Amino acid sequence: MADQSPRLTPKTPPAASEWTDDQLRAAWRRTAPTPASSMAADDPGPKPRPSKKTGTTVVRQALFNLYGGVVYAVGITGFYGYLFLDFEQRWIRIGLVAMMLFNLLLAGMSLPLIAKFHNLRPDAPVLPYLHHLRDDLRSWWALQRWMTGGALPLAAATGFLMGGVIGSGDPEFVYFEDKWPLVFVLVGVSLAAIPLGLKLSDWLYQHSYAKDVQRVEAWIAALEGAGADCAGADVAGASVGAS
Amino acid sequence: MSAPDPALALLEEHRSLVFHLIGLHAGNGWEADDAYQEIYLQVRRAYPSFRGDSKPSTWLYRVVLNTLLQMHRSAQRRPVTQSWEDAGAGAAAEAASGPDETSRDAAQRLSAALARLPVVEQTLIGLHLEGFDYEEIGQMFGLEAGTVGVRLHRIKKKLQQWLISPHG
Repeated sequence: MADQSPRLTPKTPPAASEWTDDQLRAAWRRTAPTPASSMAADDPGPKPRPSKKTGTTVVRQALFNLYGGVVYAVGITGFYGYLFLDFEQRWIRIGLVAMMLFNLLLAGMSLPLIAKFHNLRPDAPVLPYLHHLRDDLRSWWALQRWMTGGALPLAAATGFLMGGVIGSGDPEFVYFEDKWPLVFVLVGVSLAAIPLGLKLSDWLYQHSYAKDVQRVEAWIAALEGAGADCAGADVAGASVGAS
Repeated sequence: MSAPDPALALLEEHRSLVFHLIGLHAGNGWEADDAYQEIYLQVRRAYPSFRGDSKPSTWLYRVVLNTLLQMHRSAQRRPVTQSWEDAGAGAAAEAASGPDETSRDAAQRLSAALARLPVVEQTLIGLHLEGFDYEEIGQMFGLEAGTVGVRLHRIKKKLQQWLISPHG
């Protein structure tokens, strides 16, 4: 009588070369995730909402922030202009002019970047698109670093000067002239704010878009690695497994 | 009666694979819903500039992939590689419908191996298995057809190695 007991010896899995593309295709289709609620198979159709204005794309958020930055820069420049007319003290006016120029410069630097983001074509081939997207995101980050590293010291210096003048009630602005240690403190605080601003900018980046940029870079590396592999690879053997 | 939306018609025609790619990149929760909305918006916006230089399907998957890759995510949906056990758990469970135990086991292993691939490789081989040739995939990604062929060959070799040595 034949032995009916189950065999306990583990079976050797079949090699992939034994599979046809049809079987691989069936396996691929089995890996499809369960559809989301609006994508269920029994759903009568997709439910696009073309009126939706805000989304979660990196490009849209970058544009939103850049436009916001330009509006803020123009608005704050107007406010500084108002203060410029209100204060007659030379050093205060110099600080305000510096802030106005700085903000207008930032707005001017933002405009080409906005244009670059608008020029991203979603129907471009993936690899050039990702290069463009990565470069634009890096430029945006560099602008943010530059802005934070420059704006904080300037704001600190202006605030220090204005606080000194307003607090002393000294319209002739002689308060600082005999207090050089205070001026050194002003310079020191301003310089100390530069690395602080840069650190702040880096921290904000790490907690916002760093993962998106890393994902884009990983795709570029993977796709360009495919190109680099090509040089020494056996192209003729590329049809392994094809049915 | 308004004219049918050609962008929506094109999306509908490729609904199955588009949803598969969305699931691969954005999971199957609210982010997938968001991704689909965004893809529809981008397709509709870009469609008027489609000049017919490539097949509509090639053009469509460029938009789909570029949109999925620019979706902002606060956390990574899935790791680049997964453990053998985790990777194909869902797929393997669905594969357990073969005619006999050996076939089921083999199908499970193949599904699990596919699910274990990095997303970029799953995308490449998935497009190939859905009928796109090397030239078309190359046009989607901006790669030479030969490069696509080499990459697919290497992916299949990797699957082969994993099937022979699952924990390798």
